[in-house]
Amino acid sequence: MKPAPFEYVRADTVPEALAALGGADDARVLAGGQSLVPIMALRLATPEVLVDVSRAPELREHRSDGGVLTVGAGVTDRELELDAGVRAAHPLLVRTLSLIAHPEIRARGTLCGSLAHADPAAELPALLLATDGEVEVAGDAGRRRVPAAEFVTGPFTTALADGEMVVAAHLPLPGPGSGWAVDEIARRPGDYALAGVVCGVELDGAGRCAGARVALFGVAATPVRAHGAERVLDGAVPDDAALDAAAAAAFDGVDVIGDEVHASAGYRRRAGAALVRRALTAAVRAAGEGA
Amino acid sequence: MTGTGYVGRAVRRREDPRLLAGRGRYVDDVTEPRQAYVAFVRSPVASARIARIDTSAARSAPDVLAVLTADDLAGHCSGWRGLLSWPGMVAGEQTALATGVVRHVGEPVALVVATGRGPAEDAAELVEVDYEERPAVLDPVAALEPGSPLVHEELGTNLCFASPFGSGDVDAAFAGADTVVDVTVRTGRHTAVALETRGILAAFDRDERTLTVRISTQAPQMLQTLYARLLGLPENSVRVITEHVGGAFGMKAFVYPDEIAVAAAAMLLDRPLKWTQDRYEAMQSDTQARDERVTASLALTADGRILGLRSQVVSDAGAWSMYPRGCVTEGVQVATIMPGPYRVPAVAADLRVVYTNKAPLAVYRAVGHPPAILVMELLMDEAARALGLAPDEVRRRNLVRPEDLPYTSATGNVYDSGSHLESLERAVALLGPDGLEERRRDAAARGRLLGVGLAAFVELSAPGAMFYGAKGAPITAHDQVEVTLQPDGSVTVLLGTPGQGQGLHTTAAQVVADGLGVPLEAVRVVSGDTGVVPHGSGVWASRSAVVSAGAAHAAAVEVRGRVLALAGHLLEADPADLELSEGVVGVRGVPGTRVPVHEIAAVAYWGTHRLPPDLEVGLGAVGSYAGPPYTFNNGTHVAVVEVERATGLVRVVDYVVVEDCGVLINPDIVDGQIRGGVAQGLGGALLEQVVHDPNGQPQTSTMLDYLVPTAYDVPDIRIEHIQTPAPTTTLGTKGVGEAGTAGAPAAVHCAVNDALARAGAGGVFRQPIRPEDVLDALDRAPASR
Ligand SMILES: Cc1cc2nc3c(=O)[nH]c(=O)nc-3n(C[C@H](O)[C@H](O)[C@H](O)COP(=O)(O)OP(=O)(O)OC[C@H]3O[C@@H](n4cnc5c(N)ncnc54)[C@H](O)[C@@H]3O)c2cc1C
Repeated sequence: MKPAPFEYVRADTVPEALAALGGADDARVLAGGQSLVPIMALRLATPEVLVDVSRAPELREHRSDGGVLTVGAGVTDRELELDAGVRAAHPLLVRTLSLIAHPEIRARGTLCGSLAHADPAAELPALLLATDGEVEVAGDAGRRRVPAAEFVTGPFTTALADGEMVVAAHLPLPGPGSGWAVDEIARRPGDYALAGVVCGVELDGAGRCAGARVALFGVAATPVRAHGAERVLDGAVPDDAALDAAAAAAFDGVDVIGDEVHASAGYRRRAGAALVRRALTAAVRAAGEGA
Repeated sequence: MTGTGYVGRAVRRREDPRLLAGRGRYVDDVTEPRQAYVAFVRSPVASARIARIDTSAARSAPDVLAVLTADDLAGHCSGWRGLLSWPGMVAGEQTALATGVVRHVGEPVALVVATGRGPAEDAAELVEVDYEERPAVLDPVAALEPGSPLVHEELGTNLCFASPFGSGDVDAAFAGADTVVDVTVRTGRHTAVALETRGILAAFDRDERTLTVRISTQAPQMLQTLYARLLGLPENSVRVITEHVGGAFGMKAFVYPDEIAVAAAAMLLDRPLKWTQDRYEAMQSDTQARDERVTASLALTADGRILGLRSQVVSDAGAWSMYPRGCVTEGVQVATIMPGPYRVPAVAADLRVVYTNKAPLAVYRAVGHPPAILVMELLMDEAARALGLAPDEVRRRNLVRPEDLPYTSATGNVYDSGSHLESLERAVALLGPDGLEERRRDAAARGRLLGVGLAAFVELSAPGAMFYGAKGAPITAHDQVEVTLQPDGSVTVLLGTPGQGQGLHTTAAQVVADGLGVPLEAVRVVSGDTGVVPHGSGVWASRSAVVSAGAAHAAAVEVRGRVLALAGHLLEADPADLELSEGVVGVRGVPGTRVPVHEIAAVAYWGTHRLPPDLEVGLGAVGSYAGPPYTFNNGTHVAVVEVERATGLVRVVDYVVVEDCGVLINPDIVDGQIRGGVAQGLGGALLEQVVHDPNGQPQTSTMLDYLVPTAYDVPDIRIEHIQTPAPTTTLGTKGVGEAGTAGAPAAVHCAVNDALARAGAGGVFRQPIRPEDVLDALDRAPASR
């Protein structure tokens, strides 16, 4: 299929991009195009103007600073994944990226594009949520930072207002003493997850859990924190019994979605709990090793 | 075998360099001067009356040349019925564009022609169609209830075809049985997902009144005949060209309404027209397959001997019986192949083929075999469990033995040769049963259940006219091949049946090089242009290694005889004393007499003054194949799977194939066919399914939702061959192109059920086996986890 006719604007700076976005009723940012272009080809999206930000120099940068990795909106998944600094500073991110599609797609797809796309089954929004990251947004009124928990507001919808764009994501680096894991269930490697989890556990000197972060993806309309699991773990010694109880509570209060084609809600809940158990075990082990 | 012995050697596929370098020529790669582009308006609903079509806005859109509906094509392209002379079969009349009624999502309703594909699609969105929706018929069992809505009002029923199959006293068999096991199995509706989607480039020469059609099809001559018939042209005025075809698997063996609509429009508009199908169109309008519901029971003695087999098969035909093969072949094969390689003295199968509001069901690689073999192998495993026998032992006790051959199955199939028992023994040996306990423990330590599944099977291949030709379709087995020795000693081979990536150009060259006695490099093979090649009925039913190879051999031997006759004259020797090998003629036993074949060929072309007038000088000959009504290959597959307890995910970790397709022309090519086939079968077992919502909307119209196996999903496949020559074919070959697909769904499925049984769980009886089916089965297990 051919997309409906559209105009293409290549923006070399953020102000140029904002001007182009403001200049049309239905303008969309184009990053790696790995989600947007297929849906345009199916004519499920018919933007009037595409504003390509993928080559703007100021968006092509990423840097680690003060315990935070900042990734510009033009940086591809593959660049991050292959970067020695990123590999050393944020192995959890690298592992998460490896679960996204295949290298060909990651060579074009961007981290910020994935956040903006807000697919409920995507890995990166859950990573941002679990690690308390922020999305940096630019608009006519200037720049603002949106905490992960407020950024994704529904399936494929975000807190971006008309005319706004994502310029960067800020990802706090996992600190020493904490252990992290990411895991997912996919029918074929590289597929969107039927259920996925990003989790982190921090241990105190006594081997108790000083804080747990568990974010689920692929199971609800948006990535969600598994507060049930986190509450079980907080302050507990993360032994088998505690991890069992945490996994059993992971879906408390989560409005799980299901469908005929990929997996029912019941499956996602049940296999998802087992997945959480496995990921928490890995996170606790990593925390123990790091401490 | 004559000559130098290329047959049997794994020579490199000559097709590959071009295809691998991206220099293949598929339909979309070719552009004609003045070419315009087609896009279709397709039905967005499963069942509706078309109340009104308004094309005015589309017609006046930029760059649009024409917008056509059924009314516009009515006088230019006849309708058809996909009927074969099966007793009682009924089929509705189909037209190139839907006439008055739409019967499945994706059915073509209007055709837009524009100077570019983009504008054609833009204008297609402007065509207004008012649909009066009707309740969709989706469940083929409910469709037979009185009062069900009808897919084809004119037929007065949704039942397309019903028939019993089998012979022997089944009632007595069940009455006398010590053990009866039964299964109810549902296989998933598949579609072929060809890498090259369908497409056509049709050009009409109004002065010559000739139609040239480039099309991605398996059966060019069949389309030549049918396009001529439906478009009102003499057959010698229709030329069908297929260069490279990027996958077909049975799906491209039909007159498709959208394709012939493009041909009709090209004639009407006097302009070359191209249509290239999109993937979402493929997922909605290509033929589908494997939509079978089977209930079957097996009667056995206490020592595990089969007494009888009963089955009820309901086949979901979708909306149309595709022309000209029809929609009943799959169901018939499910019913008749089911006894497989086993001695089953009595069979009673009951088949019903039912219309529903889905894309048409038709033949797909290994037609009907996967469900048939699946059901039988599930029954064998249930029997093994019921009788406390090992799965291989219950099979061993029932497989056709060498002394039983030739064996006629209770459904009338004759197995003239094979290695039914031996293939099982070899497969078990290759699996290495001694190492299994350790593999099981290792898997358990990783939270996984190891399962082993066996599938012993026979596969019907290379069928003759009885399948279709005898029932009224232009499809037979008497293919032809023309072999010509050129003046310089090079050889041109024109194949009636096109080579489409299966390696037929390579294997045909091997057969001709041997049959004629020339080096392989001297042979060039051409196919896929009905203006050039002799007759053939296309690539389907694993036939080329039997039919094309047979015809190629016949032609090569004929040319060789002519060369030797000429050489006899020129060398003043008795042709019977001459030999031709690697392009050199010599007198047998006289080493000094060696004449390169090109010296003789040159005389036949340009030096005929040296020859007596009565000698045949033509060095080109057409060979025809005439052989048995079919061949049966046989084999055994073993799949080893790991089932993850926590998630229900299944991974195939080891795979063994023992295959007997008679004489191997090229072992590597056969292995490639088997590997690809196993991958497809694995997809059927674990991944692929066309899903509809309750209104008949397909939910799997992209490859995000319709899951095909990828390289990650397919294990290394260990293949061993047994070569039991076919007693009745020219070279002793049997067909094999579909055998991998035939056996794999059963082997993988039985392996999953074995893993589940070892955890105390009952099996899964549907395909694809989804992770949640596995978890559900584990949940129901009485044993603790
Ligand atoms: C075969 C395949 C498999 C895939 N599998 C996965 C998977 O397993 N997991 C997964 O997470 N993803 C998967 N993806 C999607 C892939 O990761 C996408 O690249 C990503 O989701 C979007 O990034 P992009 O840069 O390609 O964005 P684009 O496709 O360019 O844009 C996506 C959307 O985000 C908007 N957008 C992009 N950048 C900005 C910005 N800076 N500001 C505002 N809006 C913006 C666009 O307007 C558009 O609406 C898959 C894609 C394919 C083709």
